[in-house]
Order: sequence, then structure tokens, then C-alpha cells
Amino acid sequence: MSPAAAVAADKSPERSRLSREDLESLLRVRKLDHTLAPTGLETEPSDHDMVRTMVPTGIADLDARLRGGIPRGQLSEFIGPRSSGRLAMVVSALAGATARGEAVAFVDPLDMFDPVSAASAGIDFSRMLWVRGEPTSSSRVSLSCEYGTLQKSLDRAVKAVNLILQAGGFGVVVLDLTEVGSQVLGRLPFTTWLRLHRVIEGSDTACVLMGSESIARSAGGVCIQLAPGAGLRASGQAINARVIRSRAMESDRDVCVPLSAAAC
Amino acid sequence: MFACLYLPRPVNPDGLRGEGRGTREEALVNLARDFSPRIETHGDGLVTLDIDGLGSLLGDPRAIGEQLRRNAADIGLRVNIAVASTATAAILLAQSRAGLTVVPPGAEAATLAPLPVNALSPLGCPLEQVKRWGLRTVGDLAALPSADLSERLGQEGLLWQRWARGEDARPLVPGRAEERFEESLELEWPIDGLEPLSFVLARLFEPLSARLDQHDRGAVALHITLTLVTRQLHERSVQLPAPMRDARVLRTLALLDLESHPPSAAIDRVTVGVDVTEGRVLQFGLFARALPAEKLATLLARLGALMGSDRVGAPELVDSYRPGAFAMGDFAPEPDAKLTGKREEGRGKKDAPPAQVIRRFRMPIPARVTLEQGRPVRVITDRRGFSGGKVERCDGPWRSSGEWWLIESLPLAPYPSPLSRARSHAPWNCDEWDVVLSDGVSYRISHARQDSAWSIDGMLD
Repeated sequence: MSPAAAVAADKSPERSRLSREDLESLLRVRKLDHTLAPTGLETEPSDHDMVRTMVPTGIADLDARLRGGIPRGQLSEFIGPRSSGRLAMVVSALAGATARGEAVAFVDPLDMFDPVSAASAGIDFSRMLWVRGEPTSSSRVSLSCEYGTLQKSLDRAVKAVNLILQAGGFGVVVLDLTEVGSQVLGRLPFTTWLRLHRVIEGSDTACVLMGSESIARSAGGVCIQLAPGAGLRASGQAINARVIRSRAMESDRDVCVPLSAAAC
Repeated sequence: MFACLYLPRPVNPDGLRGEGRGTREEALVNLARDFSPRIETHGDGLVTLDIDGLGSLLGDPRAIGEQLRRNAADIGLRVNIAVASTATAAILLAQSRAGLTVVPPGAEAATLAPLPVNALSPLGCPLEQVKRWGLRTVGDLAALPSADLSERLGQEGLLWQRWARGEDARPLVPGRAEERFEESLELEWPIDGLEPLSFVLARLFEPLSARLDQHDRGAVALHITLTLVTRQLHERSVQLPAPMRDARVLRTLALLDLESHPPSAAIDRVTVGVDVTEGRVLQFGLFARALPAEKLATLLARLGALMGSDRVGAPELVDSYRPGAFAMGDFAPEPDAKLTGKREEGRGKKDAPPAQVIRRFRMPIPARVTLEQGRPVRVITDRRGFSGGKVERCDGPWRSSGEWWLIESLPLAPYPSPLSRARSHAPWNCDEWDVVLSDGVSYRISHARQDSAWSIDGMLD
């Protein structure tokens, strides 16, 4: 009996369990199994299986909380205020991905990425596609001319992310929206994020947004909120990470992540 | 039936090769191709062609030979021509006899017999040894008992004897013509704009792609020539990162390039051509997330058209202490096979804590900084979005300077403003501090030592 026929024919409680399995197998065939909630009965996946479905952040405690890392085929977010370690966490994930031989992309609407300090995290730059927008004299501006420039930069960056995701073949694609003001972000249609999610659904690419607050609110992705700790170049810094949205877990506690000093 | 054309080497008084021989040999090959598609070039002005089937068109072998000679004379070539039923006989006779020689079928050995044994030297026959045996003509060698010859010279001896008898040791191996991969289309009406041009390009690239596929070739460079209504030529060339032959990819790349460099007038004629190389053989891994070269090239071209070609690539570190110095390189990820060492390296760093990363303001933000005992205690800036405030903690200073030796060659002020300092190839001399302000944000500020200007260069995140 085919799974679909089993679903239609069986009504008894004993058979309903079988029907659920059939449904799940159908979802797996169509690569939609990421919508299934974990039952806790699954066998512990191997490291290799984990890397195929998740992108580890490189921080053991956080990866454990996320059951492996950032999910592939989903839109995830790292949010928090300035100096909360958003970029450090993302760069750590990018470094791990390039070390595994994956290509990664970093879309930088305001051209603020600093390769020198990121190099100390161990990113293999030959595997990183960097898409740079135009730098502005200030990021959170309200002057009309700068506002228009910022809006154009953001529109182009979103288009660039769309192109990269459609091309496929990248393990992680990052869109840095941290210094883009909420007014400018608010002008983007909300369907923007739905569209991006549809593009990567079922693919092996993890799309990561960085921002001050959650904007995409994707159901399948994770959202990690970061809070700054104290510390500087010489002493390093500690940040607090909290998973505020993840399909794999109900609630969360803070994970303290130490940061080493930035490179000059 | 085979014909052989031989272009004797013109010897000038110095014994050097005559000028333009390469061109003359090319003309000889073209002449042979006019008569038959099955030609084999042996180099040094020697071409063999299969003339089977030409009889119904031109007549008997002598008529074919005469026609060959006339056509050669028309293009200024004085060639030796031999027509025989075996290619070997035709080659030996063309190299030995001037003018036209026609050998009746079955008379190859008899025709070759009077030739001096030296005629076999181009084929590698050991002349000295043969002459020591008292052999003077090709016929002498052909008449030797095969078994005795094989005992003394082995299989090679038998091969030379077959040549001496005018027998073919192998079939003719025809070579392919050097094909030009180019398509052109004259338009009935001039077209203006890229959208109609895309249809024209699709029509040109599809047959071109099919020909590349047939010949197992890939395009490595794309040349587009547009003849405009103003009689000007608009020429563009696109270097491709990997050999490719997908018509849609080639069309997209051509269109994206023309979007960035549009023609100045309507288009009358479109010509596209490609430089080709051998087709690629790729072995993908089972688990690798490979990005095909065609897709990557299209993606980079699209991103270049969207953001600017200089805004897309892979970052590269440069050998400089300049704060924030970097370069942009081409994004061409290497194959997975070369990653073994890096994977090990990545595992070694697995447990290391992540490092702080700087967000750098490419246009540094001017600031006013209050110092106490030589250390910053307050940072103020007028720029919106940056509140400034009291310095809670600070680290530094880290002093660096460089390229001061270029000062004399620069027409600008000796130590320029923070904005121009961010440019490459400008001298710098600054102290950098990392400060945590009262709003909890960590900034990297710098102090230009020559003009005492402060600026916010970045933000630690």
C-alpha cells in the first residue's frame, strides 16, 4: 500500500500511528521533513549527518542548545545591539564552513566588513564571496539624500542575496543589516523574507540575517539574541547568547560565550 | 586512390627556408581540402588526400592530378603531385619526382623500384646499413627475402620493405580542419535595446553551442561585435572563468556585459565568436556542494552588473600594517581535493573561542576626544546614530605609521584627513584605541598624530 493510500484508508487508533509514519515519510521524500517536530525517539545523529542538516556555529555550548547549529534551508537570525558579538558569531560559523570546504557569501550593504580582524577567526577567504555595497558617511542617518542612498543599497543587497541563493552551491549566505536603520528596513515589503525563505527551502544553504531586532521571523529558522558583555582588545569580551526561537526547543537559558581579542 | 601534394623546400643562397613557407603550406592544405575532406598532413609541405569518388566529377586519375596542378598554379604554388592506389607510393613518388606522376593500379612496386634508396630516408630507413649491403634502389630492398630481412632488422625491416613495395602500413588518418567558432547575423531592421538583442543572441548562441558540443570544446573567451547603424563597430570581449558551452549561460554573460557597456546606436549586424579549449572532465564528490563554473560565472556577472564589478569578489589580505588594509581578488573556490590540510586546521581551532571582529567605517567619523593623563575619557561626535559619551574602559594606544616615504611624491598635504587616510597609497601615522563608551558599545578610535585629529574608525562586534 502506498503511503498516501494508507493515510486515506486507515482510521483506527492503532493504524493512526502508522499513518503518521507514512505522512512523515512523504514529507521526507519531498524534503519537507524540517517541519516535523522532534519526538525525542530518534537515534543520535552522527557528526556527518549533523553537518549535512545544520551549520555549526563553532561554539560548542550554543551548538548543543541548537541541536547542531543553524538549520540549512532556513532563514535564521542573529540579533542584538551594537558590540553584542553578532559579527563574531557569524564569522565563527563562516570559518567553520570554509574549513569544511563549503563556499560562503557575505553580503555587506554598507561595506563595513573588515577582513583583517575576520582573518584571525580562520576564514578561508578564497571560499568567501564578499558582496560590498557603497559605504555611507553614516549609517543611521535621516538626511533625505543619505536615506535614499541607504534604501538603494539595501534593495541591491537583498537582490544580491536573492541571486546568490538562487544560484545555490553556498553553505552559508549572510546578509548584514546591523547598521541599517529600522525605518529603512521597514520600507522593505515583508514578503521579501518569505520570498527568500521559499528560495532556500529544501536546499543545503543556511541564510543568516544580522540585525538589531528580528525582522524575518521565519518559522523554521533559529533566532539568537545576543547581549554584550564587558571587555576589550587586550582582555577579550564575553557575550550572552539566548536562543529565542527554534523549532527544536521550547525555552532557553543564556549561554555565555567568551570572545578573544580582535586582531589589529 | 590517393593523391599526394609535396611543396619542395625552396632553398635560398644561404640555405635557409624561404620566407612565407608557413603561409604557403597553409595554402597547400586549403588546396587539398578543396578536393577532399579526407586529408592527412605530414608536415614539411607534404599532404595526402583521398580522391576516391572524384572520378565521376573530374575524370580519371590523370585528370584529377592535372586539375590539382592547375589549381596549385593558380594560387602560385609549384608542387609535386603523385596519384597512386596506395598512400605510401604517392608519398614516395611526390617527394622524389617533380611534376605530375600517375601510377596505374598494381604498378606501385614497379614504379617505385628505380627510385634511389635515399627516397626512404624520410620514413626512417637506416640508409647506411642498407647501403653497406649493396642496395642502391628501392627495388633492391623490395626484392630481399622477407624472412632474412626480418632476422636482421626485425619488424621494422619488414615495415621498410612494405614501404619499398608501395604497400600501406596503416590507413589514412584524416585531420580535422581548424574550425572557427563564430556566428553572425545581418538584421533586416536595426534593433535598439537589449531585450530584442537577447533573442538575436539566443539564435546565434544555440548553433554555436551545438558545434562546441560536437567538437567537445568549451569557450574560454567570448567576443561580441556589433555593427552599428553609424558604421561603427562596438566590440566587447568577456573572459570566462572556466570552459563552458551552455547557450543560455553564454547569452546571459553577453547580455550582462552589454548592459554594463551598451552600444551607442542601433545595431545592424551581430557577430559572436568564442575562443575554445578542450572540454572539461569533472569529477564531483558525493557530498560536496559544488557550484558549477557556469552558474558561478553567471552569478558573478549578475552581481557585478548589480553592485559594480569592483564590489564583488573574495577578500585578500595585503602585506601592510595600514589599519583596515585589504584587496579584492577573484572569487574562484578551489576544488575539495585540496582541502585536506585545511580541514585538519579547522578541527584544531574548533575549541578556540570566537574572535572579536571589527566593523570598519570606510569613511571614518570625525570625533572630539577629551584626554586625561594621556588617555581618552570622553568621546563626542556630531554624527547622527552615534551618541558618544564617557569612556568606561579603554585599551591602547597601538601606534602605527607607514608609507611616509611617499610624502614628497604626493601633491597633497603631508598627513591628510581621516577620510583620505582611509585610502590606500596614502601615508598614515596614528594611535589606535579601543574604548567602551557609557552606552556599552566598543569603538576603535584613532588619533592622527600629525594634525591631532580624532576619528572613530570602527566598532567591535
